[in-house]
Amino acid sequence: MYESLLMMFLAAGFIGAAAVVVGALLGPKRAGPDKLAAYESGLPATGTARERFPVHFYLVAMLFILFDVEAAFFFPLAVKFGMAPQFLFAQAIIFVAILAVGYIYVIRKGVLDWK
Amino acid sequence: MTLLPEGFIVWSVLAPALFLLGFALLTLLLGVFQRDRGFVAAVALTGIAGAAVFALHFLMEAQRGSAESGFGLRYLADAHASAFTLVILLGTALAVLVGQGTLERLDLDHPEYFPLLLLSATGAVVMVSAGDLITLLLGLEIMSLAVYVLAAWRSDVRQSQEAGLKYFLLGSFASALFIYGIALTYGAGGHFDYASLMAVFAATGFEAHITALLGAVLIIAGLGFKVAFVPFHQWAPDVYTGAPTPVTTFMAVVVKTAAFGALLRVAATIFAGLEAGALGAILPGVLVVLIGATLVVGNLGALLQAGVKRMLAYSAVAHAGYLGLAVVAAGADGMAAAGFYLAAYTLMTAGAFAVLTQVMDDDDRGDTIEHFAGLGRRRPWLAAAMAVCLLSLAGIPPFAGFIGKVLVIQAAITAGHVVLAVLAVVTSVVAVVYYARVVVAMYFREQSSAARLPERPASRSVDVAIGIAAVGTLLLGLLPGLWYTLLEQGQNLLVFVSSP
Repeated sequence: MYESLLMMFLAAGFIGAAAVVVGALLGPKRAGPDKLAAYESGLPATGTARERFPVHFYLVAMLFILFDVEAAFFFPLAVKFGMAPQFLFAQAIIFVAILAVGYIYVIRKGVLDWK
Repeated sequence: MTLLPEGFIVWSVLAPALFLLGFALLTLLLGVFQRDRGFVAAVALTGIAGAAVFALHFLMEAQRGSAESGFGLRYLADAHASAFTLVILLGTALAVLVGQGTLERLDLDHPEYFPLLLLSATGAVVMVSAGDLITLLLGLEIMSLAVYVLAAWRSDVRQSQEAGLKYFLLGSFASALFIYGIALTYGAGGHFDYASLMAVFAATGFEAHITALLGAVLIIAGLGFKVAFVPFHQWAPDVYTGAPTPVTTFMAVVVKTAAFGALLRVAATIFAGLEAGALGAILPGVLVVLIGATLVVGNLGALLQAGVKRMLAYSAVAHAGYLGLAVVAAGADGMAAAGFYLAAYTLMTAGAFAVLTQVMDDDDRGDTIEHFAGLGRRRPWLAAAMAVCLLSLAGIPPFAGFIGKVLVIQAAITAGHVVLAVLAVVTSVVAVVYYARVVVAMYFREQSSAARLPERPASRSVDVAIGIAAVGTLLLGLLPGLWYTLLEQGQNLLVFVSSP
């Protein structure tokens, strides 16, 4: 019953390897300064990517991910909401209340003040 | 079509955990708005007291034989759960008092200490109340995350950073093992809740013994990490020594109580169900080897330590071994014996660590036996409290530790584990040596000039904590029935005694 799975893995491996090998063998190689430069969505690349940037970015980015992921928890709640509206509404309120405390804490700690 | 059956949700059984959670959020807000730390500590203690009232109510209900449960036996408020909740709350209250008195002079006075303690205690309460492996896992993670942060509380000291990182990495690894164990158990039994798993494993037609056994062993490994069973104890001495002493107090008592509360329940249900089936002898064998190793390594390790804090860390490992005796007897008298032992252990260990904070200097250093020399003359009350706690830890009558040891050894003998019982008696003789060393230094040696007691005013809240611990240790030793009858006569749900 697993033969088809094996076939798929073999085919995937073959196609992947073939694309790289054939491209390397047959592709034209006309290198120039523009072609060797880092691709930056069509904009001219300036400076190095290894610049120092404020550690504050890290904190804000982490908080963004935190609150963003928390918001994703509402989707399963919304899908099943009709089954037990009062129970799920209470759950959502408790959840948001706990989040709100965290939000107030973050503001009072001055994490969002850009210095 | 409804999501859940009628009467499935019983909010009231969640009361102790929800009360703690509410007060954790409240103290977090107060911490950032109000500068007075004493007030925040008082609010935290109020929350703990409130949760204790609910737990006491459930304990009384269990005495009347009407133990409550909710979510279809997935969250229990029976005698075991509510008694362990009370022990957790006692340990948390002592940690709050010790922290309130010492964090300021250690320059660790961040407002997050109290909310983190309460959040961790919330997770601990969920763990001991769980009647379902998923609920247990949630409680374990809620408890652990806060403790990882607390272990690294002295962020400018390398040992504390090391403690936090080590505890986090190894703890995550243990959680992974635990989750894999849950997955295997679910694969074998098809359920997450203890009651169904117990019934499936004990049934005659059950086939997947190997998978279930593997799952059970991984669950033992995951919880064994938290209680520091050998060979999962490696982190304990380093983390206990590196973390600030008030945090060590919390880790040593509350984390251990929660993990044992959960392990006892799992042993009394899932393990008992497995033992009733074929291959039933393997699981007790695994536990006996782990517990025997824990007794030997913990006590010998403590014997070799120069620092009192590290000695107490190894002593915490050794006591995990004694409590292990109750785990192999979980179906019979083990749960009540462990409930008593952990109450005694919480009082005496928290007391010893609280005295330690008074002897150590403002960098949280200076815990050699030299520092205790002559303490009996300089601070007679402090030395007396330390002596009570240490002699009780050693298991010398008339203190609570003695009764606790008698109860767990008795439970192990009743369950047929005589070899372990003998090993426990032998190793507790070794234990007397390292505890007595500190007592001898306090009373029979002169203060050395190199190791002076720091000059500073005594902290009232730490004194209160030491007083509660010492008096409680003595009281539980003299009148053990006060607490033990509540444990023994209270109704426990889901307990399954496998036929021998």
